[in-house]
Amino acid sequence: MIPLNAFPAYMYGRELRLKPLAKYPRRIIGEAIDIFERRNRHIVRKRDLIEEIRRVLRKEHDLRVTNLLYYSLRVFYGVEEPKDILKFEKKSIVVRDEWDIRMVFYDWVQKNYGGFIPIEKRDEAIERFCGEYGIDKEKLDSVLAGGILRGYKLVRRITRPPTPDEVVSVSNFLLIEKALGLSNYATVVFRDIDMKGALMKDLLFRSKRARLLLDFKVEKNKLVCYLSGPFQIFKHPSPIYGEGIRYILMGALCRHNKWWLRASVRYRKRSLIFGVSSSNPLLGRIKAPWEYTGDTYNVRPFDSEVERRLYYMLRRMFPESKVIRESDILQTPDGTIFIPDFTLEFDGDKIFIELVGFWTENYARKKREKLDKIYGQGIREIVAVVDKKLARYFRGARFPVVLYDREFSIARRLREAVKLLKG
Amino acid sequence: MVASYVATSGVPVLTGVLFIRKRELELEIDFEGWESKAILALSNIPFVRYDEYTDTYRALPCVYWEIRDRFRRMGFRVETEVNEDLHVGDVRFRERINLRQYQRDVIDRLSRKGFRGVVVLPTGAGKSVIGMYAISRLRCRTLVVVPTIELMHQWRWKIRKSLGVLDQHIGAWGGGRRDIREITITTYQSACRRDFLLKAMDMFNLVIFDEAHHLPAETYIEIAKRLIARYRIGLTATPRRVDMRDRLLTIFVGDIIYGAGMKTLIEKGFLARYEYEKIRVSMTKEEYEEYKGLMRIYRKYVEERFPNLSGRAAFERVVKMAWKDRRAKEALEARMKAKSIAMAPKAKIEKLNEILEKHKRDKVIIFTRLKRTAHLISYLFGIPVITSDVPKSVRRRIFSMFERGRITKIVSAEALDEGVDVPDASVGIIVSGTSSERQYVQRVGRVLRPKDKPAKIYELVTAKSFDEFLSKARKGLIRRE
Repeated sequence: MIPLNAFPAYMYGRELRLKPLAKYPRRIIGEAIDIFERRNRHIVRKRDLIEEIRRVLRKEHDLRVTNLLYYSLRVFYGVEEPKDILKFEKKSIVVRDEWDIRMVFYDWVQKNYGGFIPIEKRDEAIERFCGEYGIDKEKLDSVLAGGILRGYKLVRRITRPPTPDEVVSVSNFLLIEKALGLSNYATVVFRDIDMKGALMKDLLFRSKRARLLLDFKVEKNKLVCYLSGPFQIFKHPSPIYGEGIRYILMGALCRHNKWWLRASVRYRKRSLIFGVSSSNPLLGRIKAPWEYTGDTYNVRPFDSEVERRLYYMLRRMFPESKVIRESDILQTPDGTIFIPDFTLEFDGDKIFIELVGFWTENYARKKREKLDKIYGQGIREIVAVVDKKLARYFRGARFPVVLYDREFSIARRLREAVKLLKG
Repeated sequence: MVASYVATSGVPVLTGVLFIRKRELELEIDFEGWESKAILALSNIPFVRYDEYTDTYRALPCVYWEIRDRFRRMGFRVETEVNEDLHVGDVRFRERINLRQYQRDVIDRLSRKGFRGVVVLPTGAGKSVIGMYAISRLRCRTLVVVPTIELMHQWRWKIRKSLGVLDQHIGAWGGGRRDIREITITTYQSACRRDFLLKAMDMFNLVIFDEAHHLPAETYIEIAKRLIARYRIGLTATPRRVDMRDRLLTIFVGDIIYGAGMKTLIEKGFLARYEYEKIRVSMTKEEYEEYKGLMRIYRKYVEERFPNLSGRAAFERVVKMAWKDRRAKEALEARMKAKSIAMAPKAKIEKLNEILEKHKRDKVIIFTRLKRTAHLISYLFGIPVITSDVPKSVRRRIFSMFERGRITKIVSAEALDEGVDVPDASVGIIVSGTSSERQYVQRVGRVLRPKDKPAKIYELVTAKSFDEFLSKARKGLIRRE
């Protein structure tokens, strides 16, 4: 979700209105795309890019529009940390990252120059170090200057440059997403939909996940959805539900052509009304960023703190793989359906990770039965991450079981389990 | 209705019943009996208000004991939902704390004030020892609130080492842990959250606020308001705040207790003597021209848009405008750029070179205001840098190397100002800083651990720039001392 400084909104009476990028000539958006294109596969800094976009939008004084354009373009262009790990050719020192190189250098400076290199001897010192350790002088210089020149490599995510229309559609998505993110109540009407059941099922599933209240009214060709949070907990309307509302609705809005949306939004300490429909000439066309990024729409709130921690742990531990939440529906020949909490994808190989948190004994028992059944039906790449308190229900399991407690220090065992399954 | 009756032969007079219930983060107070007396008493207690919807009184938990004791003295029977069993139970303390004379004086003064007060002692004078001593003396459930996770670990280690308290009795809330035990350590950030306060409201009788100058912040002060703790100790070297909210410390923690000053501690040998040298440097002609040009852009904007404002007030308005006004943003950027030129002109780098040459054998910490300057110094001189973007594991490596003498120079941008236990150094070089007295005192404190020869502090100031103004502003406290 974009930050507030990229959300060009203003109050118009009791309404919240937005300044969409569609307002600006496509030529200007095109110029901004050119800036990104010129920098594609180069090391860039966010500040410099925004500065350049600002020059393109020179007549627009609202800097939030510049930021919005930047974030919209970033959907099409990812960033990579410049990974150019160096090695010491003449010394057998393990180098994991640039800090290892720096530490060796600092140590050397201490031994040879007493803790600092006098400015007049700097070049000579660098040369000496490079000679002794077998490292390229320029590369060492860039490592030492890392803190000053830190930047990222800009990499286009799609095969061709984006078109201005695509950028505008994505920016509309980001704007509506942000507005919903600030909302506490929303009504949506979907018209002319073919598969009402599927849509309802999707919305219900998501609202259950997000713990929000969802009501439907089905009319002839219309599906009306009312979304709200359990207000009684808070004295005042709170935007705390916005996260859930946008998670529930954004996917559905992107998939359907005819819709009408109205939401109550908290903005600048005021309750405002935000309304938009698919027929709106400026805001109506939206395109989901995940169509370009290839990510799943992972803004869904986590079920628990443990699930959140496990997700980020997996992402850190297996950077070479893709960690997807509840992506696969596994169906065994006998019809049992199983949706694992996480899927780790390694070049075609998949490992499913199921989290069994503390719940009732009945739940744990059923979970074990289900996992056994699925394992028996041939799906063997399962790792169960189980709360220690439920350990007795998972004794003797044929699939790897990793027990966790309050400390949640399971990294080593989890790595072993995944390694085992990867073979 | 409980009838009031008159005591005979020394039996206390029962004038009514007071009910205290927990309602979210407040206390609900109701009574039966001598109504006028109760209302009068409640109206004299701060942070108690009448709630017309429920026809009861609402009070902040911090005045719980005051309400309870006052009504008991008035002859009310108190029926309370609040947990009053706040002893540590079977926790064993092995007292190993040897207090210095000035620490003993502070403890005496604290105990005279019912262990409520903000202890002010210079950095390195052993404030946490006082906190530790209070824990072992009061032997009640204790909450320690600290500003950083780093300090959480340090307190835990100190409690284990100095008080001999077993690990199983020390809890932590924050940094991924959420367990409350007899002695619990938390950060301000975690403690001000509702879920913690709901649990902790009546769990502790002693609360220690380390680096207590953080407490008066708008959100953090809730911690002091929402705990019933009878004993409250604040520890800080710099209680004063620019926003003047430090008076809240007196209200919610206790009176400010000034311990021995820096001068006294230096005289008695508890802190190292130090020599201070201010070195004025000038910008080169080109730098000065650029500095002036950039400041002109900023001033021009201020004069045009806010002719009646100047200084900080004007700056704040420009910041407010910057998100929507392109010129405001440009003016702000010009000012920032001018600032960075004034803070690290070439002359400062040359002077730094000279000073480092002079202290080749000493342990030196170099302080800067901006991360960029710190990285530049690190790059030019090959000195390890510690800023907020340096990973924790690397920081630890650098600290341990510095402690063991494997490296003797460190450069830092505000990351070592407070909340980190920095190994001792004998020379401090302030290349640039803010106008904050607090920052200055903390930085000076980093080199004041007792040692054989006097510590040396250098301050590099750029002439004819606002670096001079900042330098003057930050030394107020030291000058007063």
